[in-house]
This record gives sequence, C-alpha cells and structure tokens, in this order.
Amino acid sequence: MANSPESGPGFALASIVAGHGPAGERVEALSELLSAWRFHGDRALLSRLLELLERHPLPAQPQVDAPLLAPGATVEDNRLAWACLHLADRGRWVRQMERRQWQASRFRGQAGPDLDAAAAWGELLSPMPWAGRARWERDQLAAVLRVARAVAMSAPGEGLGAFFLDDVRESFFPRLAVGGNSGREERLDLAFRTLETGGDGPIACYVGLLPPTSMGHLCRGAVLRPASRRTLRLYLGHPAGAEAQRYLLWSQLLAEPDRLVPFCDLQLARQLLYAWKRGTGWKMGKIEGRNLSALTGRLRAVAIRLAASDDVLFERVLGAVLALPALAARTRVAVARQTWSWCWEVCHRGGDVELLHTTTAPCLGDDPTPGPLEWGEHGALLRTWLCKVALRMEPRILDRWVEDHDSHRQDSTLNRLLLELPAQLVDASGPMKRRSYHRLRALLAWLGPRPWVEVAEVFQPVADLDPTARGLPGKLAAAVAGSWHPAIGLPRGGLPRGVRRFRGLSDWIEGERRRDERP
Amino acid sequence: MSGPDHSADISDATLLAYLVEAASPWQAERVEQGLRRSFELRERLAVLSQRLDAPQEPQPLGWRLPPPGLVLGPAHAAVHLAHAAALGTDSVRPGQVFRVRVQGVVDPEQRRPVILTQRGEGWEVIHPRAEVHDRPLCDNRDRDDGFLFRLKARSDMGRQRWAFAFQPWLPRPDWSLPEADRWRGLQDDLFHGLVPALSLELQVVSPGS
Repeated sequence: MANSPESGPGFALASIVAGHGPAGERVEALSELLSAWRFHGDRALLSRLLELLERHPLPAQPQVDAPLLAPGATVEDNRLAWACLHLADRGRWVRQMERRQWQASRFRGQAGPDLDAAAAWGELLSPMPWAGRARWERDQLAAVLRVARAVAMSAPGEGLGAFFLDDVRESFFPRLAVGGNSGREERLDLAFRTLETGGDGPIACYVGLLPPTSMGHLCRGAVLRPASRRTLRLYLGHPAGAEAQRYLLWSQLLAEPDRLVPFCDLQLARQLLYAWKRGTGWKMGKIEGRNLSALTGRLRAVAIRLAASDDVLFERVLGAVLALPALAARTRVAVARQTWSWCWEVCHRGGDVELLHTTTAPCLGDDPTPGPLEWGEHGALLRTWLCKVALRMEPRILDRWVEDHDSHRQDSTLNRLLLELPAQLVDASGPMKRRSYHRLRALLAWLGPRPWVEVAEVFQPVADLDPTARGLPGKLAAAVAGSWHPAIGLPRGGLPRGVRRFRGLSDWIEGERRRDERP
Repeated sequence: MSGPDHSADISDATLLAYLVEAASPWQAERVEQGLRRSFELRERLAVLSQRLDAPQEPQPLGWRLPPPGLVLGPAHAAVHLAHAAALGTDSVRPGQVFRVRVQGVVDPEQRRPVILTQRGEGWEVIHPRAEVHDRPLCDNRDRDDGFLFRLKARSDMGRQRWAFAFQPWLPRPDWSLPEADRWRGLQDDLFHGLVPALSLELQVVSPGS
C-alpha cells in the first residue's frame, strides 16, 4: 500500500469517517481520495457509494481489520476507511496500467514498418483481403507460429496434436480474410484489438467509435447479469426497476457517450467490493484485470457485430486504425493477443478449427425492444400530457412514480392518466405483454424538472385563468389552443381545483430545484 | 507501485504469454515485478524462452489448404462411410472405402475436383492422376444436387487428412509438365483464396480395435 493514513489520503479518510460529518464534505473527501477512478466527479454517485459502504460494511476479515485510523475508532469506521483507501489504491493501479501498458511509451514508431503495416491494413480491410496474404504472412506468420508454440507448450493433457501448428499456419490468413458469419468479423476483431492499444485505454477507444445504434446493445448487456444490474442501480440512483434503468442509461449514453468510461470504471470498483465481501480479491490487479478484459471483450463484441454489417462504420474503423501512431508495433501485439485467444479457443474445442466461431465471443442478437423516448421527438405530446397531469393531480405523485413504478397502483388518477398515453409513449402492449412505461419513466428521470419548466412556460395562460369563472372548460380550451396536442383529450371535470393546482406548479418546480441543489 | 511477492504463483502459461507479447498489461506487470525480485522466476523464463525459440524445421509451403472445419468459398462437405451411412462418422479401417458428399459449389460444369491427401509434411494429388480422369465436377452429381466422391482410406493408421479443391475447368492443366509444376496455377489460386477448398480428417483404426 503506497498511501498511509498520515499523508494526504489519511486526512481525506479522517474526513470521510470521523464523526460522520456533513455529507457534502465527506463526499468531497471521497472524491479526492478516489480521484483515479473516472467516476470520481459524480458527487451523487459517490454519495450513494458511501451510503452503500456504510449500510453494507465489509465483513470481519483479517485483511480489512488492520487498524488504519487513530486508536478509538470503531471497527466499522476502520473497515470503511480500509475499503476507501484500498479502492483508491486499486484505481491508481488501473490508471497506471493503462498509462504504462496501453500508451505510446510501449509502442515505438518506425517509419518503414509503420508504412508497411498501413499498407497491410489497407489490403486486409479492402473488399479483396486476399491480396494482402503474402504481406501479412511475411510480417506476422513467424510471430503467430511462436504464439501457437507457446500455447502448445502450456496446453493441458495430451496437448494439441501433431497438426496444430500446421492448422495455425494454414488458418491464420484465411481466418482473417473470411472468418465469421459475414466474413468480416475476424478482421474487425484484429482491428479493434489494435485500436485498444491506443488512445486512453481499451474502453475509451470505443467511445468515439461506436455509433448511437450500439448503445442499445451495451445497455442490454448492463442489465443481463445481477451484478451489473446492481452496479447500474448504484450508478443511476433511480428510478427503480432494471428496464427503466436500462433506458435511462441508454438516454445518457446517447447524449454523452463519454459516460461509458466512468460506468465501466464503476463496474470494476463494484466487482472489487464484492470480492472483498466474499473474502477474495486481495491480490493487486487480479479482479480488476479480469473484469477489465471481460468488459473490453463485450465492447469489442458489440463493435464487431455492428461494424460487420455497416459499411460506413467499417470504413471508420479502417480510418481509425490507419491513424494510429506506431502501427507496426501495435499490430504485432494485437496479432499476438488475438492468436493467443484463438489458439486457446481451439484448445478448449479439442483442436477443432471452426470458421464460424470468432475469437471474441459474439454478442447477443438484435435488441427487439424499441429505443429510448426522446424529448425532441415526443416533447409536444409529453408536455400536453404533463399539463393534464398537473391539472388532475399533484406533480409529486408522478415524480414518486418515476422513482418507484409500483406507486401508481395506489393512485387511480395516475392509472387513468397513464392509460390515456398514446401508443408511441408506451413500451409494449399486447395480449401477452403488460402495458409498461419504462421508457417514459427513464426519460422523465433523465430530464429532471426540465419538462415541468416547459409545461409551466408553454401553458402559462392556464395559470392566468380565473378558477371561479363560469364556462371554465371553454376558457381552458381557448387558453391552450395551439399548444395542446390533439392526441390527448382535454380534461373536463374538476377544473377549478385543477387550475389552482396548476398555479402552484412554478412554486413546486422551484422547491424541487432547491432540494436537488442541496448537498 | 510495490506489493507482496507473488512470483511463485506465476504460471508457465503466463510466462509464455509474456514472452510472445500476448499477456494482458496487468499480467505483464506482475511478471516484470516478479522478474525484478526472483532469480528463480528469471531462470524459469530463460528455460521457457529457450524451448519456445528452439530451431524449427522449415515447412514446405507449396499447397496452402485450409485445415478441417475452415472452408474457403461456398462449399461444405460431409463424410459417409460406404458400409454405414451414418453422417459424421470419421473412423475407418485401412483401405476401407468412404464417401464424401460436397454441397454448395457453384458452377459445377465449369470446375474440376482436385483431391489431395496429406503424406508426411506434404500434400499429394490423388485425383486426377491422368488427363483421361480429368472430368468436370458435375459428373459426380448425386440425386440430391450434391457431389459424391468414393475414396479409399490409406493403409497407414492414425489421422489422415484429405482435401478437395474445385479448380476452374479452364485453363486445363498441362499434363506434359512434371507433377510439381502441373498444379502451380491451382496452388497460386488457393493461396489467394480464389478456389473453393476444404479438407477433412479421418481416423484410421486397425481392424482389431
């Protein structure tokens, strides 16, 4: 452990645990301590993380019970300090690995070989990849066979048989040229492995490259496993329910693809916490390394699947590869890693070389669910529906439903309003499916008070109505004419109370805003 | 960043991955830390490196045929044994007749089947052996629109590899050339992925087994 509680981190630790002081200060201290993790800037997330660590402390274990704090500190405080300090250390380790191993210092550029590598990539990713066979075999085959010998030396049991090296030699280029369902998958696998050696690390390289269509795949992956669902809940805080969380993450990633990196970092940190709870994960780098490899593999699988069927993306991948500095060295390492994985796959399959199997396990099929709702597309309709909500009930009831979808079972007005929603705002409804609103809840959670602000502005004439006046329905219709979406029916009864409630909307929004700003 | 010495936990597989640059960054970091601390690990690495880079026999590269399971071009094949029609059975006796059914080759009138078998390190063409046997693929067509070949397993025991290449009918091979030169065009086409090709493996077992 490089840090000690007496130095800077020790001071931060004391702020986090001592006396459980003001939440804002504790979160600031935690943010400072965990500065190597790329989620450290998300104060709300850190607050939830701190709460999680306090609510579910690490169990008694010799490793976590080494005293870190001053004498007199409770066992729980000491364990909290241990978790924070070690998380900080592991975060620094992950960053150090990325800097040291993935970035420029390891890959030295050489003008001649780099030009040659660029020509080889140009041929491999062209419609006629076979034209590049002589060049690829001249430059890479010796290294590929060396990797195969290394796998053969470490293979368990009776080894890989007499034909193994022949098979590797004869399949190396054909596999690259035509491997995979579309004949592009193995080439893309190698291209992405090459790209992973550049930029800010293996995860970040996908951020600028993956198109918005990929986000649905990624988000589905984020809710497939119980562990990743728990991470997602921690990351988002609300609303409840995996599906709504998936749509919320989806919306966030569409708006800000950079969020993928802190989300992946949180997955690593969360896996560490789980490992420590199980009494494992003490060895530096083992959990982080394995999970980072798995995360990278999943991203690669999504990227391969999309680029294999998208000519524009395929071209972008080629462009990104050609733009890498020290391309020859990076290609050599990527070929070695791909061959290593492929040879072990062959070994696990008893020596069978299968064309249709890709080195990186393919990702799941197309996501059949519709994409997240977008305010830009459905704003007018949603504003109208929200105005009707504001006229019929307290907006806070809808907010509570966004947080907890079960709450609407208690509220018949909200139920009726939800049934009035047009089909395009409902996830799916049919004989076999319950009507659900995960996308709507995710959108409202994502946008916060913004829709309400727009409702208050657009439907300002409603607030100007006199609730005691006669003929209020007609006056309401005249006041909202031009702004009201025809797909939503105008409210008929309870208008005097509704107009009074609508007048209080701005105050409620202001109150919510102040509450959100509180640390 | 320092930590406890785990060099004894580093497996040979990790050391080999490190040697061939296939180790992940964290594995490489562990290996390098271990190498700085442990003489025993440095010795293990040196021994593995020596074994890994031992001089290799040069391989003849005349015929570049895909290994079984990897098919070039639109073709696929299944092996029938002559006496037992069970598909997928790949054990035969020495000299036993087996049948191979190939599907999916386009333009069978315009292609010739070239059948090879692997002997030692190299491949040998067993069909066509003479101009008179040089017939288009469509001659082997069966009732179900596949192409059937009747072959006899070699007498040597163990795994035998057989390969099929479906060469364009024209230009025809120059039968006046020695065999080493006769198929050079096909070898070039196979190298450049221009010819549908596949191979399969048979297990030849002794009659008593």
